[in-house]
Order: sequence, then structure tokens, then C-alpha cells
Amino acid sequence: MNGKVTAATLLVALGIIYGDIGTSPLYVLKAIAGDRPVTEMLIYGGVSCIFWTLTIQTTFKYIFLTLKADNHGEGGIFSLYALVRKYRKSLALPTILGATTLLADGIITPPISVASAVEGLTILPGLENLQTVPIVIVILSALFFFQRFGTYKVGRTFGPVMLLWFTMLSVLGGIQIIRHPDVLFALNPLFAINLLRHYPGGFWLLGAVFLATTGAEALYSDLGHCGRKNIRISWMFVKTCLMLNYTGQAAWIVQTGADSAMYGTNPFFGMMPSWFLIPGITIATLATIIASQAMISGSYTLINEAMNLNFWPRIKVKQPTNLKGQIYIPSVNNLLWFGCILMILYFRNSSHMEAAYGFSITITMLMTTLLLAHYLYYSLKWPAYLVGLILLLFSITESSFFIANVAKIKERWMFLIFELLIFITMYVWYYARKINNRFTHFTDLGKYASSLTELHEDVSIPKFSTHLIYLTKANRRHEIEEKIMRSIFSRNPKRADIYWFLHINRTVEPYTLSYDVSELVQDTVIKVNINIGFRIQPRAELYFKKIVRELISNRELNLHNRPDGSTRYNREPDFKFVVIEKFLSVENEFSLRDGILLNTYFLMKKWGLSDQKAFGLDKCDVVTEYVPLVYQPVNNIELKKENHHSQVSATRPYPSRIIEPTP
Amino acid sequence: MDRSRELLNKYISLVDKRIEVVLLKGEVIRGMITAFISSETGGGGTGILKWRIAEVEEASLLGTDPFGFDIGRTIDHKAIAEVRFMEDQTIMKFNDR
Repeated sequence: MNGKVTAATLLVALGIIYGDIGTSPLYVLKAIAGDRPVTEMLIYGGVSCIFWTLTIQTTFKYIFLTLKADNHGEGGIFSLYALVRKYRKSLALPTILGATTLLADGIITPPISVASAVEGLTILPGLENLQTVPIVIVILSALFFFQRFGTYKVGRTFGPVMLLWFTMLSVLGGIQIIRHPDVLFALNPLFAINLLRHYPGGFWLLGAVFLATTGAEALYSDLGHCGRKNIRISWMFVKTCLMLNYTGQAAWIVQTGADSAMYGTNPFFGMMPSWFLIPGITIATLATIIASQAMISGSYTLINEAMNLNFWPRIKVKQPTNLKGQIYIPSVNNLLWFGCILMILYFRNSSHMEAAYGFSITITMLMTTLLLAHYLYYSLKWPAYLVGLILLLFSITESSFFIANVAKIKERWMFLIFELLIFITMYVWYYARKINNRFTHFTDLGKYASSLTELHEDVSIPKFSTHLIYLTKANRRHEIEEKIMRSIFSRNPKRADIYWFLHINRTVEPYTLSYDVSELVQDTVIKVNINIGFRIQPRAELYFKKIVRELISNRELNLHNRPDGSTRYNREPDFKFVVIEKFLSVENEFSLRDGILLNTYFLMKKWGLSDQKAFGLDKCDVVTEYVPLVYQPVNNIELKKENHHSQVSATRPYPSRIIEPTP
Repeated sequence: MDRSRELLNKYISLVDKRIEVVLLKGEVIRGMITAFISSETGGGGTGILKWRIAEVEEASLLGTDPFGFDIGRTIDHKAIAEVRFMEDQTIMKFNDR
């Protein structure tokens, strides 16, 4: 879909990427107006701020600049990191921070959107005291429950529903603009400057204004689903619809509420004719469900990418449909469901959520800006002064939003706990793994070639397996982990017809799936390198068996007996994978940081998926061995031999038992 | 510039694996490389951080003694001044002493 632009692809783009940003009119102007007296300075200034935020932050930063950072068609903070990590190792930290905050604020998107729509029902006569919380809980619970079945079928309706939604936004807003055309002057940036400079506490209103652009990060995350051209073209339509609606709401507020306060009235529903309220609320609810769906799918993608780039422990990932890239992560689904329900129970209504929403996204945006600057400077070779100017512009804009949103912390303290947990998980997993890798000993595979051949031919040793396969981290032909060689040779040597060393190389390209083979000893010691994109599930056993089948059918692998190692009694292939699970040895002395990191890492490993499951290995084909990991052996042990025992221990290893003669 | 990979590639190609490692502090270690530890820099530029070197007589197939203890000494790549290869009598210099 990346290259093509058709009416159909544009419709799909509408359904996938504009959920969050597209449903913001439900609550942004309501949040700006709040209980403040309605004045032209406040309302026009608010609309002006929204317009210029959508222009600078969404259009210029995300649509024009960030979409350039296309990682083989994929976008999002991890894709951007994959593009720039080679230039600076320390970029892992802003990536972790950005992803953490994106996930954390994502938890509030479904409840705030759905609650805003459902609260529209309270405008209906007789429903003023309707309890909306149970309705929101039922809608969200159903949405999370149906995730396991995928969105392949219902997904086709998303585009048309969102088209209807944006059309509704335009028509409702357009009618109000026709009635009060002066409102168009609000697009003048002077109104925005005036609001921020002269309105009492005007600067802090940026916290509410920012809600209009919280979904901008999603535009970039969904690059892979829709393609750059489709996003850019559809954004022109979406921005027009959004601005028509925001301006229309402003016109309605100024006409109806001059010099009085709104007192919680939502201008979005307020400007609807009463006969249209029920269809309007229905369309709004559908749009918010689609917005929530986009957030949920985005969270799965984010965690999946984090896992494949070694930022997250391995957890179970399912593919509910055959649609490329569509995944379902049960644990993330449960966590999000729990978080969303907790949000709605805690905040009760959308107004309270508005006061808490947005803070984290400002951090995500600041981190994206930092990564983007590296991309523009190092990858696109833009001049330093230009990159510096861009960095300065967005640092000022986003820092202003950040400061204005800081006031929300007191409303969202529980998010800090959630964010801290996500941050710790990513930080520990990434940095402990780096320490772990630093203490993995490799050795020259070539020096074992003759020993492996001898073992393979030594019929006095019982055969362990026909195909003996080890997963190795060594990506070079002649390298292998020392522990693998110890597994083969020490204690009970493992005789096999063929020794395979399988390396899974996670590529920075999202959908790569290729392999190369090198034989160190012909038909006996073979190294296979499988390149798997960071969006693809590593099904090592499946891919490996396909490779062996291909090598045999191409006669590149010449086995003496049956090609798969079967006998005339047994036609089943004889593959045995050895998985070496590490555990932290007691014989370690760490610095405080390394000790905390490694102990937490191994604790997380216990909770996460085993290597066997993570690499898609069938249980019946796997032998798991456990090896202690000694990073920093306890030093300076002086074990003294006591002299008076020396003679006894030299001759008699154990003390003799004295048997008294029986009288 | 990190030339640790160059050392490894040269070492792998040797038939006579005996080497002499001269450290920056002047100490000379004679033996064979039994293992090494790679850095993880990403982007394909993985270098070697540490080398484990054992004397020729004690170097076993698995780099351990019969009780499973690692044999030899682990030294930082940065601590190496030069490596002398017995096979071709060449010297690879890394850092000035």
C-alpha cells in the first residue's frame, strides 16, 4: 500500500490513523473553555492556538519532517531508533523514555474518547442523570475481549465510518461558521499570542490546547499501515475537517455563551440540532471505538518492536488473522483493559481525564524530536544549522507544552507508577542484556572442527541425535559461544550426524526473511544465519526445517542415510534443539548497579517466555540445559590448607570410623 | 581505531596458534587465545573487548580445567601494546607503550 494512492487506500488511512487526533474535537475546546467566562480572547485565542499547533506540530513536524524517517516503510519511535542507533549508543535512553510515555498515555485514550462520546447522551431530555461509567466499561470491555479475533473483518468498516465522522465534523462546524463567519479571523496567530500573553493564566491553557495534537505520534507509528503519500494526502482532508469543527464550535460558544461560563456543556454536542443528537452520538461513539482500536493495535506493535529490539522481555504474541503485521498480545491486552477500566473508575468522566491527559505525550514528542534531529543530520545529511534550527523550534514548542502540562501531574500521579514500571522493565531488560552480552565468551569454531568430526565418527559413543541444533548469538562464520562447545564435549559428549549452529539475526528492516548457509566441515558442521525483520515472529524451528528441506532437495546437503535422519522403522525427522538457559551464579560480586540490573533481569526472565517458546521450538524436539553465569567471580579467596590435616587427607580422604570390639 | 577484529581474523587464519602478547605495562604473556568477549555496538561494528589467553601447555579444547574452572588470564584489549605471531614472526601493534 506504501506506493499507491487511490480512493480505497485513502479510505483505509482514514480508518486506521486518525482515531486519536480525529476524535479530539469531542473534548479540546470544552477543556479550553472549562468554567471560564466566555470571551473572544479565550475562545478565538483557543482556536488560534489549536490551528497553529496542528500546523507547526502535526503538519510540519510529523507530516512533513518525521514521515521522512521511513524505515523500509515502517514508522514509530522504535523504527526511528533502529535508523539512528548506529550513530549514538546513548539514544537508547530517550527511546525507552519516549516509548514508555507513549504507552502510558495511551491507556487514557480509550476511556477519554469513549467517555466523551457517551456523555453526549446526558444532553438528551430525561437522560440528564444517566450513569455513563457502566456504559463506557461495557464498551471498552467488549472492545478488549474481541481483540483475540483480530480486526480483519470489522477493520474494513473503519474507513467508511471515519469518513462519515469527518464529514459530520465538517458539516456541523460549517453550519456554525456560516452563521458567524467572523470566527474565521481566529486563525490569525495574533489571537493565539494574545491569549498566551494577556489572558490570566493563559500559558497554562496550552495544557488543554495540546490535547488537539496528542494523536500526532500515531500518524508516524502507522506509517507502515498506510504509506507516506496516503497519510500526507488524507491529512489535508482531515485537518480541514478538524478546523471546520473547532472553528464551528468556537462560533457556537461565542454566539450562545457570551459573557457566561460553559459549566461543562460540551460545545461539540451543543452545536448539534436536537433531532441529530442520537445519530450524532452514535457516530461519535463508533469513531471513539475506532480510535481506541488504533491505540490498542499501536500498543501491540510497540511492545512487539520493543521485544525484537531487546527492550522488552519476551512474551506470547499471537497472529489472529493472516493480515500482515496484525498481532495480538494477550498480556498487553489484559494490562490495557485493566488500566482503562481503572482510569474510568478513578476519573469517572472525561472532564477529569482531560486534566490528566497529555503530559506523557509531550515527553514522547521531545524524545522523537531528539531522534529525528539525529536522523536529519546523520542520515539525510542536512546542514547542522538547519537541524539546529528545527531542534530549537520544536524544543521550545514542546517544552512549552511540557511545562503547561506539568500542572496535570497532581491529577495523574498513578500514571507515574505505571510509567515507572514500564520504564524499569525496558531499562533493565536493555542494559542488563548488554552487561550479559559483555560477559558471553566466544571462541574460534575452527579449532573445534577436527574434534567435532572425530566425535561425529566415533561410534563408541551413543548417538544423541541426527541433527543437533544450537541457537547461537555469534553472527560470524568462525565464531561460537564457548558454552555451546562445552555443552557438546563436556560430561556426556553429544554425537550427531550434523552439528548445526543457528544464528537468528534481527534486522533493522521490518519484514526481512532470508538466510545464508556456510559449511565448516562438509555435511557435518554447518552454520546457518537467518535474517528476520523486527516485525516478524522468530519461528526458528519452522524456518530451520524449511532450510534443511531446501538444502536436501537442491542436493547441497548430502546425507548418507535418509535425508531427514529417519530410519526404515521411523519416518519422523530426528531434530534435536539444545537450548542453553542461563542462571545467575552465586559466585558473583557486582557493583550495586550491575547487581540490581542483573538480578531484576533474571527475575523478569522467569516471568517472561522461555527461549524455547520465544524461538518457536516444539517441546518434543528440545533439550534444555542450565548453565551458571559467572560475571564477576568473587576475588581474593585465600583457602588455606591446614598442616595437621595434610597427612591424613593425603592418604585417607575420609576420617576412619573406629569400631569398638564387642566384649 | 578499534583493530581488535583484525587481530581475531589474523588469529583464526593461523595454523600455529602460539602468540606473545605484550601489555602496555611491559608484561609479556605467551600462549594461545582460548576465548574472547565481543562488544555489542550494533550496526555491524562489533569489536572485541577482552581476550582470554592460556599458556600452550595448559590450553585445553574447552578452555577449562577438569573441574570446570576457566584456565588462562583475561585481559582487556585496550591493555595490549602488541601481539607477536610465532607462525610468521609478524607483529601487530595496537597502542604505544
